[in-house]
Amino acid sequence: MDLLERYLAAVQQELPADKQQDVTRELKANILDQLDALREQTPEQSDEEHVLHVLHELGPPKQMAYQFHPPQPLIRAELIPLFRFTLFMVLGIIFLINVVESTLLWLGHDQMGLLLLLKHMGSGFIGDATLAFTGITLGFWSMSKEQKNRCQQLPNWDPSKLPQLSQKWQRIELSDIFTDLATYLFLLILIWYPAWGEVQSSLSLTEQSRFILQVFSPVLLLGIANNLWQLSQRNWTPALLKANLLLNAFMVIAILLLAFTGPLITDVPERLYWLDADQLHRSITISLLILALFPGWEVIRDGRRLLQLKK
Amino acid sequence: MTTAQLDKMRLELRRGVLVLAVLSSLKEPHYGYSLRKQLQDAGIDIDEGTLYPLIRRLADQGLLDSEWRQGEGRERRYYQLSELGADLLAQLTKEWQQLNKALGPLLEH
Repeated sequence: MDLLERYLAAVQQELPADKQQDVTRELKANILDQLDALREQTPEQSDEEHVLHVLHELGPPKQMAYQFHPPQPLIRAELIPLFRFTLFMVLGIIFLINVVESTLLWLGHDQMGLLLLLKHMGSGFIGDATLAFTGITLGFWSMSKEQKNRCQQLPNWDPSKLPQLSQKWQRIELSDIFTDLATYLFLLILIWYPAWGEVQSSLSLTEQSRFILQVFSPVLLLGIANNLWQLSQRNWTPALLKANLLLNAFMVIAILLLAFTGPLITDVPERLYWLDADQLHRSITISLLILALFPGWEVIRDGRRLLQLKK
Repeated sequence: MTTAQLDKMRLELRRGVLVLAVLSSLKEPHYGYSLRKQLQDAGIDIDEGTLYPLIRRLADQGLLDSEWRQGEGRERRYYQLSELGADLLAQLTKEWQQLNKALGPLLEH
């Protein structure tokens, strides 16, 4: 009987507090009935053998407890794709921010070696990522709870409102939305992050460049709003295409202005002693021109798509 | 088809039917073991690990009434179909009969 008590205690351990007493009381009554029946069927076997047989039939305590109280996932299955993308996006941004921050620090400190740079990058990322992971999981947990209550009401949807998609490309992939969202957020943080003041002494932006970046910040905010709009629509409509085209056009203008209105940074960092000022500025201009090709390509793509939809 | 696949399909096929069998058997009051015995005698073999949690889930949904009773020197929890359960059983029985009627000719082909 000791074995039976051990089994019941193990089942009880896996159950929520409010069900522990009731479930184990009932389970014990059922097991005792089974043992009585077994004693009648096979009187030659010992009590211990009977208990072993019954418990073996019932299965492991954890499995038995889960049958009585199936585990509830923290996040509902339908929210998992969104959760995964949000997590990847935020962790990606945090990683990039840490890379930029650590690199700027490294450029400004002669004594900072490569190992120290990697340590700074790693510890910064782990700390921020843990915080972000906890915050996102808690957010989705609360969304799951809210959705569970909403799902209990009858869904009210109209099939005639399903979007009419004439082109294959009209469906917007979640990965595309989140990539854009991550880019806009990263750029915004890069421009406005207050901690840059401490580390940017090695790589100061000129007044003019800083002004251009800050003036174009609202465009980045509009980009985020546009992405949230895409998230709610999930397919390209003429209005969404126009908004995206305009945003990308502004991005191209901003990048070209940065590239051609004088130097982006004031001095060449000491670490980059092998570069002279002209070479560095030329490299930055070329990099910015390459960068402008991405939104530029999207402007052309969206223009062509708009024409296709008009046809 | 592998044995695992067959077992999975059998489990899915039986899942809904077991609810019907349990509800139907509980027109009369039963405790866990006596219900299992009754189902077994009727040719429906169901393991304890499935049956006991199933009865509790049905009771939690208000389909069964339950009470603890003393008997043969031991306490047992007896379950019986509630009013809501009886309504549901009538509807499910009708549904089952319709399905059975429709499925018969299909399976004969």
